[in-house]
Amino acid sequence: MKKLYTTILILFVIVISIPFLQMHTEIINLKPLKGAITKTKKPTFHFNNWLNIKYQDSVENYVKDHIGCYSLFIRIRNQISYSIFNEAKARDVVIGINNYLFEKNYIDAYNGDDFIGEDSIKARVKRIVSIDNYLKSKNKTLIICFAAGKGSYYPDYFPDKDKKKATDRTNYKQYVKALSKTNVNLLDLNRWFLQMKDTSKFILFPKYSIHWSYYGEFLVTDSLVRYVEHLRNEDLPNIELKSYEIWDKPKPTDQDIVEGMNLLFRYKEKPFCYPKYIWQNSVGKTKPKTIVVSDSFYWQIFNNQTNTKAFSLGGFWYYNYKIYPDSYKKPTRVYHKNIVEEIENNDIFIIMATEANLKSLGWGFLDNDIFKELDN
Amino acid sequence: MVFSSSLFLFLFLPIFLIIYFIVPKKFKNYTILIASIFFYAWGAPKFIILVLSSLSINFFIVKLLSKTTSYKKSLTVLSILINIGLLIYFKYANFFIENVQTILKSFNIESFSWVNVALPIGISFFTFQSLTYTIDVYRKVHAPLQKLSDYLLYILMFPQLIAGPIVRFNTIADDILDRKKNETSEKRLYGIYRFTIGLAKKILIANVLGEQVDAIYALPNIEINTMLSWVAIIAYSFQIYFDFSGYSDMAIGLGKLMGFNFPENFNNPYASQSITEFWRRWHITLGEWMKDYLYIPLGGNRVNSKNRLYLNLLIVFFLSGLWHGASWNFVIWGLWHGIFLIFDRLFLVKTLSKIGKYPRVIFNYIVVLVGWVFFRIEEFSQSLFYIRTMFICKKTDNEFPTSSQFWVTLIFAALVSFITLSKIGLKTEQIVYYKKLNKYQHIIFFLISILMLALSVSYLSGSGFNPFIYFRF
Repeated sequence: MKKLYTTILILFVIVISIPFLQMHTEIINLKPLKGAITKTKKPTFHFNNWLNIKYQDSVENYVKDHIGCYSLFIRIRNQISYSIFNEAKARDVVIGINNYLFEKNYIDAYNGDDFIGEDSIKARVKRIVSIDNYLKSKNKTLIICFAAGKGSYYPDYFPDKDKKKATDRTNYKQYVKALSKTNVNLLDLNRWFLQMKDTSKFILFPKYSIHWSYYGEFLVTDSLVRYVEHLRNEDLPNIELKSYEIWDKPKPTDQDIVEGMNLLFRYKEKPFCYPKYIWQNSVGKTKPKTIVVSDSFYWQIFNNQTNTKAFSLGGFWYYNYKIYPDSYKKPTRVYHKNIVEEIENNDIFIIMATEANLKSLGWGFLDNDIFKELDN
Repeated sequence: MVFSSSLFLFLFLPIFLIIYFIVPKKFKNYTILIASIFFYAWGAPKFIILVLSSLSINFFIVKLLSKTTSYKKSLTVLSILINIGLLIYFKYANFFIENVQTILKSFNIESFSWVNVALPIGISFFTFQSLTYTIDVYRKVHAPLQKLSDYLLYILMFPQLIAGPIVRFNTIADDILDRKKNETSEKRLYGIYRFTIGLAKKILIANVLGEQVDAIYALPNIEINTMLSWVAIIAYSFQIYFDFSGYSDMAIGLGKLMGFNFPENFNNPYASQSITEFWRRWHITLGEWMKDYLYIPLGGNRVNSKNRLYLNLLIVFFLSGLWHGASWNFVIWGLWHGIFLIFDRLFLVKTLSKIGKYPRVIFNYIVVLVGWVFFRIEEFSQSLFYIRTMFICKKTDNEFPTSSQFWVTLIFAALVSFITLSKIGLKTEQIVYYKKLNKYQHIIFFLISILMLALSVSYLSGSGFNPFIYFRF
């Protein structure tokens, strides 16, 4: 008996020693946390800081943030909150009916809670029309593209407290209404996704993701290139589907909210389609110089190599701030660029946003001085 | 450094335990003492020298008084004055000056400047322990300790240094010298279980409730309605109970790991049927201290008149309130309890005896809840606002807290708090806390402890909310 008790006692001491040992050795390979995490820097000892307890506070915060198994601890807590209490610890994540996950701004956008007003939208559309006319006069093309939105796609799965009577006073509906009366090229992928919702064999909008699925992105990539071909009457390299795989367990990109929630487990949802494709050879084809100003809905399209295989030059202007792929090598910002030159050097300007981001469509791109002057 | 911090759990504690278990018996007390001095210096570096020197002086005064017959009383008074003097200066000087300044201001007299005195953590607790040492030696309840290091160990022992339980000298005097009988692996296992129960009470219950309580009390008055004011104070009652009793459990558990048996500090206080009973179950070591070192010396129950008895009760509870903090809200809280203790003796116990056990418990709980309003809210007018809102039917658009975790925790806390009113509850409590376990039960208890530890640490890691309410006392 005594042996057993001593063993348990030693086990306890070992268990409480593991996090400190892991902190310094990282023997156990744990999945790191996703998202923006601010961790305390290692404090340096100063006698005065010790006297006024600042040093001690810093050390305690440092150990709390850097202790071994920290990511595991966080995941345990988040999993309990999610699985037992139906609560998400990630900021702005809303758990809907049947565990459909949303971000609050998508629900707000669908409900019109972020509506900027008809007058604002009319003014924005007026500016877009001016820019469109200006670009057309230079044989350039402007495309306004509305990415699909999870709020519009799954309003039935909103939590009861967020379910409101459908309204026309939303940024998306009013933009569509106003732009439809103009000659501006509008690619409404939100409507397209809704049309495909009941007939698509595969998931277009995953339950646990805020973005469209990998399969959805594949369809969008193909459609976007064909839309540009149609508008420009040019032959661009297209994608050719080779095969596809059906998965029960989605890739992390198809569970981006769950990934951001830093849970212990991933969830099954089927069927997920992962197409395998190649880009056509560009010999004899046109690769128009294209700037894409977009939110995160363009990421996978960009990762599909669209900007190099079908388009050229301009790049992906993420929220009109960082420019990719240049930013992979060194930080390249939009404000580093001469906009007049960029407009002269490129042929196509795609402005893409999902419904939750329509309140600030273009993120300043439409407000460049060169475009503002068009108002006069 | 609080017990419920990563630094304590994963660095301080394992290092301390490994060293403590390895060193030979004759160095064990020194190991605890060094760890305790480090523990205190970590949280109150400015005061460690002062604390060590005042304790050393007190040790020699008490040593002297134990040997002399002629100056015994004078030396006892001197020792008490040093202890109380330090407590008054560090804890009440600011409060006194603030009140003097307010009075002067009301007479349009220009007030004087005063640099606030910082409060050494745990001073209320270790001063009371130090006083028991002096008085117990004076009363010849126990002989004084021969070594200064043993005396410092008694006062500064880190498990109970900051927030109790208030361990009276005669309770552990013998264990300081020799605790071989307590230092078995099995007894230490009970320490582990007790520590993790305390940790879970603090982090998984008190902290969860506390976040919501703070959120409600931060609302403007216009948004507070009757239901919300009740939810807030009920949640607070469980927050403070699980916070403080959790801390006591951790202290008792750590004590057991070192071979000490610290006294129990709580015994299901909310299941009390009167305020008199509540004070036998809530912060037991403070109640006992007040009884033996203040109430009885004042005359206790054996006074000539009833009015004197009631006055004694009011004095004890006035000082008990003041002990909790240098602020009028604590005094009011203490007096509120004192008044109900008098009512108990006058008519309440008799009157309530007719209504049955459960109504008595509910009535008593409501009295305690009103008291907690004074305790929680520093400003008197604000306390009155909350109490008024609790008892009138005020509606606002403000919704209840929606967090299901809060509600589940609140219901669980309520069940645990009142469970001993039933026979099953009493039996459960016996199993969890006091039953002698066989080897299979030990394995189960150990696994549950590890689970509770993992859950607690997970919640601790993911939350910035980790205050210990009783630390400021």
